[in-house]
Amino acid sequence: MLSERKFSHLLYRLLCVATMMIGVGGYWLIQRRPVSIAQGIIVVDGLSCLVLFSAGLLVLTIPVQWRQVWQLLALIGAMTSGHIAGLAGGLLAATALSRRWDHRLAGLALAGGYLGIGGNATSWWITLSGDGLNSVSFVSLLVGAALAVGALDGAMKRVSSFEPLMALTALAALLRLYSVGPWNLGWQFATLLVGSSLALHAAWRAVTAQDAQDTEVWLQRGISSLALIATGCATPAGVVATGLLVLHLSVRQLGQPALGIAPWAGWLLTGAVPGSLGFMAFWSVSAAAMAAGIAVLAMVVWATALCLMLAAGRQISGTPQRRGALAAVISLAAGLATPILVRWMLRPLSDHLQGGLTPYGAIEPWGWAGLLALDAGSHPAATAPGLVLLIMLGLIGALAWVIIRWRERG
Amino acid sequence: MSDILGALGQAWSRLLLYPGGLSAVLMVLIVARLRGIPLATVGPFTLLDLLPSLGVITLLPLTPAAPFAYGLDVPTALLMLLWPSFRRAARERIAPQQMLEWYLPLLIAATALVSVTTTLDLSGLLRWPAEPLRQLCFLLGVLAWIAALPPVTSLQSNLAGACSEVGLLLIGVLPLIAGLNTLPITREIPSLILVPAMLIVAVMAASGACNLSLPARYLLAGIALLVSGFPVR
Repeated sequence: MLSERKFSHLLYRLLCVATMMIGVGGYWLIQRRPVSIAQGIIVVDGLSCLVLFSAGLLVLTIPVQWRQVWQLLALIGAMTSGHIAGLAGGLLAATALSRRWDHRLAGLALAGGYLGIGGNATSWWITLSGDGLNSVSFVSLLVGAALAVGALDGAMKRVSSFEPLMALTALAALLRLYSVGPWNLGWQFATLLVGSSLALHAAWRAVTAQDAQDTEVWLQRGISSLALIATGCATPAGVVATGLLVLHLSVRQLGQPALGIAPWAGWLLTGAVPGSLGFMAFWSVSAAAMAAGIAVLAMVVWATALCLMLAAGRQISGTPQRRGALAAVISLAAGLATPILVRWMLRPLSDHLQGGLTPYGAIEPWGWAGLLALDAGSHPAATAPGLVLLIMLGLIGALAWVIIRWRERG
Repeated sequence: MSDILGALGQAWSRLLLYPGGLSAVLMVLIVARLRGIPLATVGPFTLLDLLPSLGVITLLPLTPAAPFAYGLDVPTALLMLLWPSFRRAARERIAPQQMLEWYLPLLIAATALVSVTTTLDLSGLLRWPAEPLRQLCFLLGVLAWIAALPPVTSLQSNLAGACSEVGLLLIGVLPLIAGLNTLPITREIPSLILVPAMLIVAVMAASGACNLSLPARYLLAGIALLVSGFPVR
């Protein structure tokens, strides 16, 4: 007989896995267009499915806390709602259940932003409320997102825990704004500025932190801030980059490298190995910035990514845990499968948010080889041949190994 | 998948002869000898550090190498070329402030170069611009790139370091080759002579830049970045 505690744990894990599975299953239904249920009250689109999958994975990776399950359900409610009141209510509930007051404040700002849009618009339905977009609501949403990513911790120079689910909530709330309507250039600029400042600060704190756990907290903040930059690009490439960063964050959270990890697994999770999911995620943000024509931002993003990789490399130590190795294998497999992930999982996301996006940049699968970023004129802005690169390195390595062995015998 | 296998099958000369394989080994050995780096036995760990840099050299868009459809971009090439020093910095926990001093001028120079080409693709460095201001910026970017290299490459004094140095110098040489190819006199010189000649010039320039102070490196990279920001009609 299962004890009550074990049953509770099993039920918790089952709920998380079921959420992930529903997310994956949802992708089959929404490949061509979003699914609308109950006269549009529930709308399932690419963003809903990504949130279902990633949120389920994130909650699965943490010790059992039923509070997180309620947060997960509230977030799912928000992201599958076709009505602004449902979206705002879900966001408020998801953040109100957090133990941190700045996350509750973030929830108020996010919900307030959407309620402001709904109040200004002629309709409370998300897709019909474009005329309600205004700068005050946008600033409220951006402030909420920055708070959820950990802006206050950065400003107060303190190290506290990081809740990836809150970061996902904030990013999803910002992405949902593209369903409402297009952003103006000022809003994009503000998002890029806030995202860059947060990312640079988090990267520097990560690389200078002494404790492995502190490094991990700043690393995850840095990844979330890079996702904020990608969202601010307002292009299909930026949306794809955000999706890849969310997946990288989930896999890193699964691996928990701060608890101890083998060097090979640790390096695979840093993103410094071409072809791994982390590499593809960091590259895609830089490529999205370049495809949008902002070369300086592209290199700032890459410098931040290099700092994050170095910080993650410095953190590798301790007794290797099995979950770290598992996450590393998943990271490599997912990294090599990014053309499939982009085609099947992330393209619906950008397609369904198309109404609010600009055509300045897209990330396309490059056959089986990797990913290709195209600018507004469909010219290549950046290339990441992950699989080809690994095959090429394997060939060179094999050749060098044969020569070394031949010399040794000679 | 067949297109990847086809491309790899056609790239055997790139892998074995030029710019990878024999010619890469030759260039690395020459640079190692010039730098006084001992030619130690290559073990599994040295090989792990050597591979990324060799991979970048193999995939560089140098003429007259066999065409290869899957090229690299600047961020990927930078990451792979900096891999040996990166691994060492992580292992020995080198102070991040020190790392920043070494790498920032290089990243600023790279930003200036990609601002001119408007692409991260390495092959973009082979497109010599038509406008004089852009040409000046390209040249300043190359100078800043080469001037930023000595502190970065001095971090690793072994074969892997020499291999990274060759790769970084060859990237710096790409715009120069493109510029020289527009001149009627140098257009006649075969690429197989032009590339090593430019590499030797770059090695000498990098050696000359060893004595440059850090502010001078920042100044050069900063000017290149500023010039690259000017709009061109």
